[in-house]
Amino acid sequence: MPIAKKNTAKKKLKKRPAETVVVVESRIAAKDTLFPQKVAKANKILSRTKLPPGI
Amino acid sequence: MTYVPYSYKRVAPRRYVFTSVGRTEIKKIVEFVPLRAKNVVNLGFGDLLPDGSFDDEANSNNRDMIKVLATVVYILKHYTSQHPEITVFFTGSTKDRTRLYTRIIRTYYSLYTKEFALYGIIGTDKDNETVLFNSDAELEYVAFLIKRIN
Repeated sequence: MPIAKKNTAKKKLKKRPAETVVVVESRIAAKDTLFPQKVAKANKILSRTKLPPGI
Repeated sequence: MTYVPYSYKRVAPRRYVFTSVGRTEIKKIVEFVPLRAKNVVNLGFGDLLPDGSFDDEANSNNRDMIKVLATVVYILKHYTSQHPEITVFFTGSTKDRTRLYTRIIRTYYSLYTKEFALYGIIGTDKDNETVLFNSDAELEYVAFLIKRIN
């Protein structure tokens, strides 16, 4: 059975035009709060507050 | 608050954005963040600044405050309709702003009594008490809790 000849010829790579990627990044991260001071303040107030029944 | 709100967009499960269009255009962000108390979330609200940061103490003075607050109320309605078990905590970034919110709530609360129960937190730095909001009472509130009842 003939053995397939390994193709060693180098393929000429097509040169792609250079791309310019502009990344506009906001500081919004879904996992973090945007208002950490507000959250800290809320927790502080609530820790000193007796909540009404049902909450 | 029967003003037509701005259209808003939910950009994350607990985050909404809309644009205030007054003297200038300001992107606003509303966020609900779980607190240590079970089923209580903080309502955070502020401006997205051009550099990508946020400001929850901004005095935008964009001449559309009522429309902006109406939009926040609509967002609150949307969020609590999806999470009826949640109680929303909110307070002003300063005492003056909390007083401003109190005046606005006093004016418009009757529109929402069938949908929401509103509590005010009163007290000192060491000991607070929660009372049902009374629009006739001249109380100094520290913060508010709002829960959907219908």
